[in-house]
Amino acid sequence: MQNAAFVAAALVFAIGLHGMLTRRNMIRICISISVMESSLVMALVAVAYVPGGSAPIVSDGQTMFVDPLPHALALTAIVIGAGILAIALALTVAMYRHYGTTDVLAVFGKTREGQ
Amino acid sequence: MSHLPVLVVVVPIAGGFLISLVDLILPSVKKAAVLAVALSHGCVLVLAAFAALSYPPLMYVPGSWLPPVGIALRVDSFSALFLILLAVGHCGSVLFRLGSEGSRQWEGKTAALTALLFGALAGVVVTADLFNLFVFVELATVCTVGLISRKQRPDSSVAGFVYLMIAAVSGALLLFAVLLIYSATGTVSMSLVAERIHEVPAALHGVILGALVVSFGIKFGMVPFHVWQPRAYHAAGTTTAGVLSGFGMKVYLYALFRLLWGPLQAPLLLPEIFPVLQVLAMVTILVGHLMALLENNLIRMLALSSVAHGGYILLGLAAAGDVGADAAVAAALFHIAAHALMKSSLLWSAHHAISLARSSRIVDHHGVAREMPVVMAAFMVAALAIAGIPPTGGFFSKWLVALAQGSLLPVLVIALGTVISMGYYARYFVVVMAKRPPEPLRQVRSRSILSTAVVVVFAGVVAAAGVAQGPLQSLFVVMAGSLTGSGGLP
Repeated sequence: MQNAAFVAAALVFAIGLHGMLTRRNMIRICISISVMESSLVMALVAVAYVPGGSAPIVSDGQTMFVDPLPHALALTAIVIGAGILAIALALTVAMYRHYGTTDVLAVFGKTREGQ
Repeated sequence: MSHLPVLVVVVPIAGGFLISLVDLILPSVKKAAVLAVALSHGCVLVLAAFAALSYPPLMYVPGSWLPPVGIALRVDSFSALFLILLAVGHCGSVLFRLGSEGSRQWEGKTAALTALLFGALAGVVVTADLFNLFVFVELATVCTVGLISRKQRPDSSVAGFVYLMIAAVSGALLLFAVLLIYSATGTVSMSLVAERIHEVPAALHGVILGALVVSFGIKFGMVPFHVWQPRAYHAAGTTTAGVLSGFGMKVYLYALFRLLWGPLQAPLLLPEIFPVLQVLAMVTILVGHLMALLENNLIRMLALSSVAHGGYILLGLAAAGDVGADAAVAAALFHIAAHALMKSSLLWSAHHAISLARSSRIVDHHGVAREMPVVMAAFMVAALAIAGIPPTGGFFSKWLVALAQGSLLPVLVIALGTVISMGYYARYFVVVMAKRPPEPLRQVRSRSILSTAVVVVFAGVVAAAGVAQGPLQSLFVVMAGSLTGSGGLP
């Protein structure tokens, strides 16, 4: 079960990496980065999984708990990823307003002309 | 006194939000607030550093929850150097900015982001927990993007976007490494990871090390991950570039040192990584210097020089692969301290030259030295030091890195790098010393004594460091011993 989750996370990471390296549209690049980060969150959730483990709340009779630390790390990574995605999209909007395109190579070409 | 490790993080972060608030509701006292935050942060950093220089290291456990349940902050002799550098960087950049020409238009956002950046960098230095390390690195990334793109020029947005994308990859790799460490050892506390890392298979250990080297390599501009640096520094402007190159970059190198010797125990368990790092360092030195030689823009040239100097520090780290190689770590620390002062002095002197010439193209700086002799004298002293001319501190730091090498090739690379850097600095000197400017230079309205004093003091300290290199080297050996575990003893 855990291995299947790791394989799925690796697949999602590869999809994100492929998108980041091959796409020219800045919005798609932002989405690809977000997909890559999501794969790491999937892997964190898989690491935290304990077969038969209960929620980490101490109660009578419970001896096996799920470690909450990876969950905390996953939540933090989600929040940071959302913040970075928001900034990246804001910068994309700023560049689109000036250059009239979201094609990253076209924008690089225009900045080179301007120097 | 016992709360100092947490105060070095809390003071600037709270101060950053305070500056934003003051900027909104009481802008007339904004400068006083900015200065108060910088000076108070500087005091806390220096106090923590001096407290840490006495054995044993300062430990702080928020809420008294010991690891692995809680987190810990740790300040030792090795981290003390970086806390002092951050104090110098925060106070120096704020004083320079207050005194420089553009201070009238100085936005509260810039000051707030600078305070938050220094808070995040201090967090990277004091944390003893990989989870916290990830959070502070990401906070520093967000602040850096804000500082790069704050000028609201089209090229600033492009540079900010490029940096953000490459930093997102760096962050993903760091998180990946933390994930692997947690899955292999069951903890993210650095001290507990160090106890359990020997149980991790060598292949997995190698993957973790590789991910961390690339992650932090991106951040400090290791070739081939340096492409963001010239564009970002150019867009950010000289003052921010001085902060990022002089002080930000050093903290990422600190993190690499700390992780290799601390939780990952690389010298003991995976010494094969050090020859690889040595090759990467030599490539970084040569590529950085050669690209700087071909560059016609002053800020980009200085940014590429920073890439090369990241290579020198990495070369010191690589030479320290032998267990207990305190001399090599001490040499790297010497170069870290010297480069922080040299590069910030160069970039901040360049700020005056660029505002006078209204251009950062080297060819437009004809005759600048005749208009601002003191600032350009400071630039020249810092340039001589960074090129490695004796008897400056820059010469001795390079010399010690070269002495720490176990073979001839890295020494030749250091020598070749020195020759190339002398070439591009000499080219700039020839231009600024020219007799007749081809076009009228701009009349600088306000180049205050304060901003000039900052660059002169930084350049002067680097020059004087050569005279005091003996005691400094002894101090750096003690600091290195705190990292390697020898305590600085031979």
